[in-house]
Amino acid sequence: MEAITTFEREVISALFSAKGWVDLYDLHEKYLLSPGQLVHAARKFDQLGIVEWTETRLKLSDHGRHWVLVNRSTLFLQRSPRFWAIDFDGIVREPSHPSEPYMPKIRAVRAKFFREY
Amino acid sequence: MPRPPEAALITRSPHKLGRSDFEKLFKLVRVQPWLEKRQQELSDVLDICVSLKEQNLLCDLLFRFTYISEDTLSSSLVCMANQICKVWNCVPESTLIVAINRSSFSDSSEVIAWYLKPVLAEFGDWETHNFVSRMRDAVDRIAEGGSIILVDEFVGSGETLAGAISWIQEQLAASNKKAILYACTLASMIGSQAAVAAKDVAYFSSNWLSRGISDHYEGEELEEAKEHMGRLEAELEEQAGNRTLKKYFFGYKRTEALYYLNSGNSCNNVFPIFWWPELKGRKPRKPLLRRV
Repeated sequence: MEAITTFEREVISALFSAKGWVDLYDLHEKYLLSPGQLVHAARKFDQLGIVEWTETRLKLSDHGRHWVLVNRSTLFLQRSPRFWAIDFDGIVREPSHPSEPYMPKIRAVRAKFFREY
Repeated sequence: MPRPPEAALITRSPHKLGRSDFEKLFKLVRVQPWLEKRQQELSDVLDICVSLKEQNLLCDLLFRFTYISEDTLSSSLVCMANQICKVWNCVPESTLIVAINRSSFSDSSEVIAWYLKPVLAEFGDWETHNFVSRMRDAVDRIAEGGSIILVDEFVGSGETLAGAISWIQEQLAASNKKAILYACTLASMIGSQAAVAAKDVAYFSSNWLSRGISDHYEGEELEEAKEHMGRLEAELEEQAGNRTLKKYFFGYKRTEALYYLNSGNSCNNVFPIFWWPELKGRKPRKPLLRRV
């Protein structure tokens, strides 16, 4: 399954919690989901065949309810990749070997350090 | 680092909308999926409106926008290739596909000439030397009695295309050469046919477009729509860089185009409310369409 975004998770969660039709305007009011996000989510779930879609209302079908249960781990338990976070693997240097000589940046060490120790 | 899914680029609403505005935008985005990723810009352009009628006009124009998606582009290019090979019966041995570009700056006509390469490969033995990116090179390369297909992405008033045809006709005459000229575009305004008709050149477009306001409304509704658009355009800064707004009222030469090629540079024939970079008082804005 394609990676799921936060707003898609919010929509699917609301659909699963509701017993019948969900008015998408309520989701806009509650989570400030934009019409673009809601159309995108509705189109995606419609293509997956898990919802019924009429005007601005969505309903999870019986197959959809089953689909959510089968995919619950991917949908709700896995952490989404943090695309916005700095990739530490790329910027942290390899650890030095203990026997390798190491020279600290003297300028970065406060003068007080030398006076006191 | 993995790339975020495309959907992650769709932003939340900047503010809460009323139910009717929400439903209006929902229907609009459903018809025009390219607006999904431009939620902020869409909201901003509607915020310029001072009345419901103005908002309805902008929504109606956006509703009728001709958006050339990747899929539409592919099918349009096949139509162009079909016209060149099957209708005009042009063969690679004596035909040049020439981008309508007379300057040294990059131009969307070159993109179309390049896009046509793999499409025409399906139709015959077309080769790299059949595709020319500057008009001035075409006259030297064309064989006596050959065919020159002038291609472009979009034709608005038809003035540039007619000028290009005249120029190449003059160059051919000066070189004492004869060639059959054709014009083939991805999209054109219907109004451009009149400008090209005088040149006696076969003209084909995969997408013929009518004027957004003048060809859609009638009578009182038309006058009202023009008045609303006039007021909306008055909200834009009169000068942006070296461009004067007056020149682009209702689109360059008042062509009233509603057209956008996916990932392309918006053409100046589109209503400036959708692409002009500044609001009155030198306030920069993020327009729906970007244009250099």
